[in-house]
Amino acid sequence: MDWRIFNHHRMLYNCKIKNMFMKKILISLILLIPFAINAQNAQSEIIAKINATVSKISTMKCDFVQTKHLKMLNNKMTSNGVMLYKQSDKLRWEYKSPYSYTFVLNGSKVYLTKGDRKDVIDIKQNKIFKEIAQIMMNSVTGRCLTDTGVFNVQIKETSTHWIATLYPQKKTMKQMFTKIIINFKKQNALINSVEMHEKNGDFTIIELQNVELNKSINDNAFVN
Amino acid sequence: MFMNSWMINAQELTFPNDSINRVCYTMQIDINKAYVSGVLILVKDGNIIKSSMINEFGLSMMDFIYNLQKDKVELKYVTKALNKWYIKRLLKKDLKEIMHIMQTGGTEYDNSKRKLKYYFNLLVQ
Repeated sequence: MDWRIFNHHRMLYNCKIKNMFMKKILISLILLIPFAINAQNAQSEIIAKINATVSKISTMKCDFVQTKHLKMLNNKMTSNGVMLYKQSDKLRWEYKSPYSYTFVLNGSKVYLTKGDRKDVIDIKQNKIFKEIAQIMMNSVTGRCLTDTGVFNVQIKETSTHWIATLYPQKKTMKQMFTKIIINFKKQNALINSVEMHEKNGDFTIIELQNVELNKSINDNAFVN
Repeated sequence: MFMNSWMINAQELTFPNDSINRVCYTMQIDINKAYVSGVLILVKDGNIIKSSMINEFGLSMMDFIYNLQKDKVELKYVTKALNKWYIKRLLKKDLKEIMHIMQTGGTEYDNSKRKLKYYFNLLVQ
């Protein structure tokens, strides 16, 4: 009989411990809610500051350095070029070295130039190019931060930068990237770099340099 | 003698070896009227050549290993569009031929049966 009473007391004791533990967990979670809300508010404020800057950009011109880190090869590949952007749907992405390649987005058309070869693609009829065009346009302008259906966004802050990590939500984008990290300089709320991580462990960092804003750019730069 | 040594050096540069263990090519694959293009990077690691093909934006298209001793290609990663068993089987065969051609300084391979044409040009970095 004694061992049954002992087991009964032990059960009661374990239940009491579990209840105390659960209470502590619940209280901790309740206390954390204001922090979670504050973090969300802080993120919204940062996004608002970035959007305020982006809305004032009518044109952007910069140099870029693209470094591809190849996991399997334990090696990297660097290319350089020039980017032109004109509000709201014109983008020219021109690689100058070590290869020559130009990608121009103008409305719903993509113009590709590689050597003597020129191609025109209608992004309304090509899902992959539509996704690439959207990523490029929205990444260089920072508009991707408010694409809630497209990305789950988390923002961290350092003394000099805001670092936004974007997790793709759509299937097509998920097939290309596991995450995209965009680095903004706090000083001017402009994009400093974009880092794209792929499923095979490779990642590409694009650094924007010598940024010039709101200078005149001829529309001829956005045709084939 | 000077010309011969220049020719030998030019040939060495087309494929990684113990003195220059990394070589890059621009690559284009013509498939009927469409094409896929990018950069092919080859790195020698002992008896194997590790290789990655990326597009101009840096997006990975495929990773493969070529075993010099066994003369065999092993695909390690292919992008979703190429991830079909019949495409991978074709790629393995064609990449093996391309490895042979690159070692002799060639710049193209024509798989006329499948209507695929590969062009590759040395990339000077």
